[in-house]
Amino acid sequence: MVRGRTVVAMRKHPLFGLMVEFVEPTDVVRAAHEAYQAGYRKMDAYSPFPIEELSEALGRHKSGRLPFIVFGGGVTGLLAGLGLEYYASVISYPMNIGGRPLASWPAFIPPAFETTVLFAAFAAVFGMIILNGLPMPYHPVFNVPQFAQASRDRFFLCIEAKDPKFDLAATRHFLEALEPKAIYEVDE
Amino acid sequence: MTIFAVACAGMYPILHMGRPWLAYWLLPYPNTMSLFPQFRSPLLWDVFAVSTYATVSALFWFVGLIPDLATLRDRAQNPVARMIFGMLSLGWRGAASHWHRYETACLLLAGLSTPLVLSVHTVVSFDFTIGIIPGWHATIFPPYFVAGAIYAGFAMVLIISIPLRVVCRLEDFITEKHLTNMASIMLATGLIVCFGYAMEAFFAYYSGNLYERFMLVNRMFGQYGWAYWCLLLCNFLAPQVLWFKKFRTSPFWLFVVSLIVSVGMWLERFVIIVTSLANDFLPSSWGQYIPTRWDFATFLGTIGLFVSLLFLFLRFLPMISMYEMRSLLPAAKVNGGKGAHGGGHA
Amino acid sequence: MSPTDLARLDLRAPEAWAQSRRKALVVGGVATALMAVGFFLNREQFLRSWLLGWMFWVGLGLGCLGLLMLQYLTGGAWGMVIRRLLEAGTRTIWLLAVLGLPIFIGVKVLYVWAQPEHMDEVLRAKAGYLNVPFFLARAAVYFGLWIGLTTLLNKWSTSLDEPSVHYAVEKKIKTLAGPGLCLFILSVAFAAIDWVMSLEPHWFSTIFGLMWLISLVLTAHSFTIAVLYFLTQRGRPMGVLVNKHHFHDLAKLLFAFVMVWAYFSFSQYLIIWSGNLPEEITWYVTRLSHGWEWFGVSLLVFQFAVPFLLLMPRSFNFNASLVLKIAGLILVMRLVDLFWMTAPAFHPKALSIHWMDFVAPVAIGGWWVSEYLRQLATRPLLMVGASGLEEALQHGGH
Repeated sequence: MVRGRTVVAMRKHPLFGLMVEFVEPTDVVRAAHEAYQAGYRKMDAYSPFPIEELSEALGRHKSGRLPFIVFGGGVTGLLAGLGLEYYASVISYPMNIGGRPLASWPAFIPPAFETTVLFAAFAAVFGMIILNGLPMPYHPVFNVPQFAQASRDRFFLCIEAKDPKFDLAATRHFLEALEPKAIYEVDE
Repeated sequence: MTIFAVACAGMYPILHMGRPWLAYWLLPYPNTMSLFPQFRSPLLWDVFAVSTYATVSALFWFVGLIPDLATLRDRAQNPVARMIFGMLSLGWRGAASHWHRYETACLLLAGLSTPLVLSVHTVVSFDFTIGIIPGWHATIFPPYFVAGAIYAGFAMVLIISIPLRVVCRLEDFITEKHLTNMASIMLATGLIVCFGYAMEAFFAYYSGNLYERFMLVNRMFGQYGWAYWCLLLCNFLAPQVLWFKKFRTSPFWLFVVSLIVSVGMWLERFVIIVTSLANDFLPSSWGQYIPTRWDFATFLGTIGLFVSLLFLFLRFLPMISMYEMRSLLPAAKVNGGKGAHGGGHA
Repeated sequence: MSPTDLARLDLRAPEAWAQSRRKALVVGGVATALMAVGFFLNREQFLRSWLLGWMFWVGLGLGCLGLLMLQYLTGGAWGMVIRRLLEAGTRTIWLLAVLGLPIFIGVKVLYVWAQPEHMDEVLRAKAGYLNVPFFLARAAVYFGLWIGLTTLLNKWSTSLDEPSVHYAVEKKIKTLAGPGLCLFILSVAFAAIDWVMSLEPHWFSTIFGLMWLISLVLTAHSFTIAVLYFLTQRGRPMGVLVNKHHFHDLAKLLFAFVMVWAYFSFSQYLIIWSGNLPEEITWYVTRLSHGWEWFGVSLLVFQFAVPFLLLMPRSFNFNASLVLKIAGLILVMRLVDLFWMTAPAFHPKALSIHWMDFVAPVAIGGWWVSEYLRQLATRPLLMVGASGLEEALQHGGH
């Protein structure tokens, strides 16, 4: 199915990439896989819910940096909590409470546990958001009106023009072979 | 529900401080008086625990909403609504790489939240057990309180969700199986709470301690004895009907039992706090607690606050996670996905 | 794999393990002979060491019963592959009752409250509970309950060996497992109070029963993981049917149990430390001085910190041999914990380890392990007819 549009017309904005729309999740996973096999690397797929196979097909590694960031956040929280308690109870404002030692470590554990979890949670949330590059209210794919369906029931695959193997005609031909519901040109 | 409950609960410590405008003095910050709060006090641990709990729950809730906010943004007709949802959803576009990190983050948050939840009610139990008042100083309090919290929590979830599924026609989402499972958990945690009662009662005898023994006798036959027996009726006898399938699978009976359990958990807090304080070590300090109209007003006020926040939430935000529901549908299954080797060619 | 395919496999325990059985018997016999010598040398120490060893192995047997009932109630792939292993553990409880006889005969020697010369105000107040006839009667009731539950559960599950699914039987078992687990928890709590807590009759802690329960569960779970590992090392059929995803589930559960143990232990310590009441604090003062504190520290490090850090990363959980090593470490630390709980009651002023403390667990263990292996060999290793087995085996098996 060849789209009968000539590509000679002047573009108002530079091309960001070519995007295809699918109805079934199986199709988008297959498409992503074949695009990866064909050598395309700068691409991303969009879905209304997480699909494990999709991110694998795109060549993402299973484990990311996030678990380490969270662990680091947790350790920081633990040290910060214990440090705060030690400073407050031993150095800055020591008080004799029922004859307990100043550095009363059993009593220090509950707040230290809480700060551990707090910092780890911050690391998880803000780490995830920042690593994802969010907030990013503008992204070229939003220029395609039908993309609104990506958050509901349609699946998209977008190959960026920055990809070394990208060639408007050849890539378009390749994408058409995947039998999508529609192909769009995405402006910057 | 969690966040609204914490908001209501938070009212009480702030109000009972006497000078609520100085509430920030509880926090360990550098100040002109060179003071620091005292870290051996469970009341301070509570400040850390509850604020961590409120913060992490709010973050977890918000993170869970991001994809659904994106859906609402894309569906919005009103440009103002679209901008608000757009800002809140942080520009989420459903990219596969983003989903991957998102799922990891949610998994980690869930893994962090579970010990956090246990720790919060443990710290609340420490408010009582760290002191030496008879009836309060018992090592079983941490698991007993945590089980009690889960017990009361599931009762509340059932009280909210059973009418909700009828009114909003959510029977396919909140199925009878969900309700039955919640009932089983309620029964299990209720039995753990009753185990706590049994241990307290037995050890009041076993300790041989005059004050502990008096505490038990006073609880049963003292000025608030009626509360203790009502407590056993509500928390021990009533949920025993959940052993029977007929009651576990009937939404009506679950609703009734949940209401009784909620009353029972209120009575439990009353029994623990009031009976031990009214009759502690020295008879000269014995007294009688009679709630004033302001106590009732505060309580009803927080119930009102909770219900208002809940209704606002139900009106404006998705009450069930849309993206999670989508992935449960058969249409969402990827053919030749996890089961295929090598090719992945469907 | 359908139930009929499974039924055709040889699901019995490896024959080579019959040799291990004999070795265990020999070890048990020799160690018991040594203990007999020790009995004549020092009667009190004999009983104390025997109590230590016995509590460890009783914990193992009882933990199997608890986990079995729990597994019937919750379902889950983790349990389907270990059900028969747990059942074999439960069928050794009768032997544990027999092996406990020295303790029940020697009650007056072992327990301070049974000795009239140590009677004081506090003990008189408890004498209604802590007296020898009631103590023995309670023990009989506990074992009666446990053996009763074991008999019923094992009898009804034989029909689950047939390839066709028996929903009625499973329903019957589930109906028993619920109340059974409740009675089990109650009886275990009171058994802990009777047999361990009353070694120091002036002390009490309401959470002790639950601490004991989690200790049992940890012991049984670690042991079962180890047995499952050695079964998979034998190749067919378990080596093929059980994969790293099952070990991952079992490891996650072990992680959760370790955390619960740490939670109970720490909260007991924090509460008693904060209250600083004379009647409670003596327990910890004894255990954190005169050299006993090293046991406490080692528990913190090897029972909590090391398993926690090693079981937390997801990738480690899939490594079955690492999980085995952690399970083994936990088993050793259970014995250390038991020693730390019981021995200072007899030697509060100084650290004291006797050679019989090492021999007694070996003696009882020899008999127990041989009986366990014998019971394991009498039934197929998987319940072919149990509903959910197929899904459980497919679990994660790409």
